[in-house]
Amino acid sequence: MNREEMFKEAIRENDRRIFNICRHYFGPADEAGDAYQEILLKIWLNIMNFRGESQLKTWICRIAVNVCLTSLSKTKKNSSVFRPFSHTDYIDIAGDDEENQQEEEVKMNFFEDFKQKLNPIDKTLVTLYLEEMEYREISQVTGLSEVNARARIHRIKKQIKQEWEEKYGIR
Amino acid sequence: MELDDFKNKRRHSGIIATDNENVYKKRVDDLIVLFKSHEKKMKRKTLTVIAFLTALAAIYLSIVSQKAGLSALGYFIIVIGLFLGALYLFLRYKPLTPQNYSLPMKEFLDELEKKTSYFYYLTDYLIVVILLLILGTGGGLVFITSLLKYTDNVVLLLILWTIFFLSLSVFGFWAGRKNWKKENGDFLEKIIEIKNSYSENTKSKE
Repeated sequence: MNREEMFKEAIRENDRRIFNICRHYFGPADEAGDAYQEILLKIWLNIMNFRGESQLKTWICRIAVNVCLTSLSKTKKNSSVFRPFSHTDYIDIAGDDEENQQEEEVKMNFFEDFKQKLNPIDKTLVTLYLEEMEYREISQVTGLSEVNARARIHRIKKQIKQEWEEKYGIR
Repeated sequence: MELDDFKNKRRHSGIIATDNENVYKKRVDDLIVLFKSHEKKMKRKTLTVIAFLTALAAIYLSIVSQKAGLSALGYFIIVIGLFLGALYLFLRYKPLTPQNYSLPMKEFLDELEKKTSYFYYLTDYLIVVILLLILGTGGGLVFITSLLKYTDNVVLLLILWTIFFLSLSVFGFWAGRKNWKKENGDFLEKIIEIKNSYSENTKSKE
């Protein structure tokens, strides 16, 4: 398989994932598009070095996270490591019910505020977790041990639940 | 309210339309063309740097051939110093390779910190001191031999040169550091902040 074919296959399978990671870091900002393109460039330049030591998905996620982190750090105007999503970035799965929509909006706003308070590594863990990656894969992307990644995500889960209940009671 | 609730959310795309296979193929093909031109550009850039270094070395070498004795030796030492200095800068501050980006995040941040730091290793200081000694010796020889026709006081010339070169080196280090901080200081701080959040709670969790 030549480079072009390998690249096309890698992107076909992981395009959506790369895009979601960019959006997690940058929200709807233009930088998401820039980071997306930068990630594809790094994959293109490096695809022939992929030896299959890890899964292609994990390998691509590493590149995506690393590119996003450097892009964020280089942007001086950016005071926070993550940019918040607007609730309009999410398709409302609650349907047309106005009450449900409002509740979804409250949840989204709460989640974004919560994410802003997390440190950069925990934010990355949340991003990968929401991309439905396994702990083993998260560990391979971040370099944290599997136990540590699991423990941190568990702590974040507990924390978000606790903060929600403190603010809104049990819903 | 659970973190898992947010797994089900779907975000708007806005950038690409993967649903349409033709649009997707066209986009990827366009990107491939773009990447190939990027690679060509990078190759050209590297060749330009090499050509510049070679040209500089050639100019100084031509001066060496026109001089004699200590003056020629001085110019020759400067050529060596400049060449080694350029080589060191080229290797030390060359950008991260694409391979670096596929490292686990933790290792990647280490690499990034090394590359972004003004002086990271002790060897950085050692190399710079050695390079300055080479350039200082070469420059000193040229300076003293050029001014010997005005005075016989070699010690005075040596002292003058030493003061001048030391001041220049200290100023260069200070100005370079200030400039570096302006350009990379925030970036490095952010990297260190992210690295620190790795160690946070790690001991208690493992």
